Amino acid sequence: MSQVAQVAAVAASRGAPISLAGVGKVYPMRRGRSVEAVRDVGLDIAPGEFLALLGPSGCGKSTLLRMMASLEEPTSGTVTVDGAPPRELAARHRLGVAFQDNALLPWSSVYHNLALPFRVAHRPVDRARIAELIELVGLKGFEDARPRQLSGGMRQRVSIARSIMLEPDLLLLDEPFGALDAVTRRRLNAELQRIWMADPVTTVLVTHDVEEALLLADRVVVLSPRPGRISKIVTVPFDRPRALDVTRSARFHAMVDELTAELDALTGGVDSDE
Amino acid sequence: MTPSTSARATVAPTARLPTAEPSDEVPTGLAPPRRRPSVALFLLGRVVNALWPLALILVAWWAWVRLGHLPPAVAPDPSGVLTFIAHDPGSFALDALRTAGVVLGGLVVGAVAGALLATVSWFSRLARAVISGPALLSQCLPVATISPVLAKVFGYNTTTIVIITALIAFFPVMVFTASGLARTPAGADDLFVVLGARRLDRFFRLAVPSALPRLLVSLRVSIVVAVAGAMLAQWVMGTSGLGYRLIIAQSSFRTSEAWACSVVSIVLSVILYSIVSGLCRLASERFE
Ligand SMILES: Nc1ncnc2c1ncn2[C@@H]1O[C@H](COP(=O)(O)OP(=O)(O)O)[C@@H](O)[C@H]1O
Ligand SMILES: [Mg+2]
Repeated sequence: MSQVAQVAAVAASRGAPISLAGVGKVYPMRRGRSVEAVRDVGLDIAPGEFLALLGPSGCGKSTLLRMMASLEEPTSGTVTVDGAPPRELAARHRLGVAFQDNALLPWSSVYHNLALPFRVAHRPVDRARIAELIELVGLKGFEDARPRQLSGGMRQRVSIARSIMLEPDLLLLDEPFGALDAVTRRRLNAELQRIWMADPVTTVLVTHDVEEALLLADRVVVLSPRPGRISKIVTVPFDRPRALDVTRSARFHAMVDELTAELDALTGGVDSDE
Repeated sequence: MTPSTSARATVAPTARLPTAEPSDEVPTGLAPPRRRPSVALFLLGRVVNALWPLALILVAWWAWVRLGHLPPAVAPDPSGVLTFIAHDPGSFALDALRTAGVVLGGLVVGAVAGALLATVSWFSRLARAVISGPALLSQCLPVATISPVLAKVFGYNTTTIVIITALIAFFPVMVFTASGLARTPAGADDLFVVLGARRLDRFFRLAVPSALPRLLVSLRVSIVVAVAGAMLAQWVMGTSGLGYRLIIAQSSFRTSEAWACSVVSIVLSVILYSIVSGLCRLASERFE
C-alpha cells in the first residue's frame, strides 16, 4: 500500500479509507429463493487510492459499490468507511456518487442539478464552485439546459461534476461511461483522470472495461462471476498523467492482455453453472 | 428556471443531440423562441375546440325527437330549448355563474384537501392506512344520501354545497398525487440517500416535482366530477344555481326550462374543463 501512496502522490491525496471484511450479500427473491451476489470479499482501500473493480457483468460489482454507498446492507461481514458505517459519511454529506444512469433531475437545469448537493446539505450555494466545475467538465454555456437537451456524454459529465461538488471524502463511480460509445468514453476517461488528479480523493470505479481500469486506477481488483469473489488484484505501475505514451507502451498492452485473459478465463467458467 | 429558459425549453422538447464533441453539441435551448399567443387566446381556442362536439349532439338530439315523434313534455327539441335560453339568457348566465362559483370553490377546497392527504400519506404509513379506507368510503356514499346529513350539520346553504363538491373533487387529486409522489425518476431515490438528504428535502426537492404532472391530470378529472356533483347537490338541497332551477322546473313540469338547465350545465362543464386543462397544459410546459 505504500507503493500505492507513492503513485497517487501527484497532488496531496486525501479521503477516507475503506475496509471490507468477509463481506457477503444474498438478495432474497420470491418464493423463498435467493441470489448470492457477493461472497467473502476482504479488501482495504487506502486514503487517496483510486481502485477499480473489474469483472464480467452480473458479478456483483454494483452490489459491492452500493454497500460502500450505504444503499445496501451486507448480509455477512462488515463495510466501514473511515471506521464507521458508510451511512454516517452520507449523513455528513461527504459521499460523492455517480451512477451509470446519470440520475439527473429532469425538471432542473444543469445549474440547479449541480446546486442540489449544496441545497440538500443546507449550505449556501457556492456559485463560484459550480462555475468552476462546469468549466472543468467542459459544459460552459449549458448552465440553463435541461438534462434531456444534453447528449449522454454531457449528462455523465454533469453527473460527475455533481458527485465531486462538495469535495467528498469518498468518490464512488458505477460504470459512469458504460452507456457511451468508445470514442466519447476514452475522452471522458482522460477528463476524469485530469479531474481526479486535481483532487486525488479515495475513489472506487466499477467497470467492465480493462483499458479504462488500467488508465485510471492505482489498483485493479478482478472479481469472479457470481457469487463475486476477488480473483486477482493488480497494482498499476504507470505514472500520471497516463497519456498516449503510456497506453501505447508494450507494458500497458501486456497488462491489458493479462487482465483480458483473466476475464476470459472467468467468464469461460460461468456458462457451465447457468 | 428563469422564465426565458422555460419558454425556450418548450421549443423542441424532443430534439436529440448527437453524442459527439462538446463543440458540435448545440443545446436546443439556443433556438429562437416561437411566438406563443396570449394565454386568453390560447384558452379561448381550447374552449372552441372542446365545444364543437356539442353541435353534433344537438343535431342527433333534434333527429331523435323529430323521427321519434316525441311529445314536448317528454323531450323538447333543441330549437325549443335554445329559444327558451335565448329568451332569458341573463338568468341562465347568472345561475351558471352561481354553479361555477360553487364548482370552483369545491375544486379548490377539494384539491387542497386531496393534496394534503396525499402528503400526510407520504410521510406516514400509519396515516396512509388510516386515510385510505374512509377516503374510498366517501366516494361510495351517494350524494343524494349524504347531502341531507351534511345539510343538517352545516345548514341549507352554499357552504354545504361547496363541501359536498369538495368531497367529490378531493378523491382524484388525492389518488393521483399520492401515486405521483412515489413516481420519482430512475436513480433519484438512491441519489438522495447518498447525498444524505433529510426527509423534508426529499419531499420538497424530489417527491413534489415528481408528483406535479399527475396532480395536474387529477385536476382535469376533478373539475368534471365536481360540476356533476355540484349540480346534484343543488338539485337535492335546493338553494340556488342551475341544479336548483332544474328541480324547480321539473317539479312544475316546465320541461323546456329543465332541459335548458341541463344544456347550460353541459356547456359549463366543457368550458370549465377546457380552462382547467388549458391552464394545466401551460403549467406543465413551464415546468417540464
Ligand atoms: N436488488 C436486487 N435484487 C435481487 N437480485 C439482485 C439485486 N441487485 C442485484 N442482483 C443480482 O445480483 C447479481 C450481481 O448484480 P450486480 O451487483 O448488479 O452486478 P454487476 O454490477 O457486476 O453487473 C446479479 O445476478 C443480479 O441479478
Ligand atoms: Mg452494475
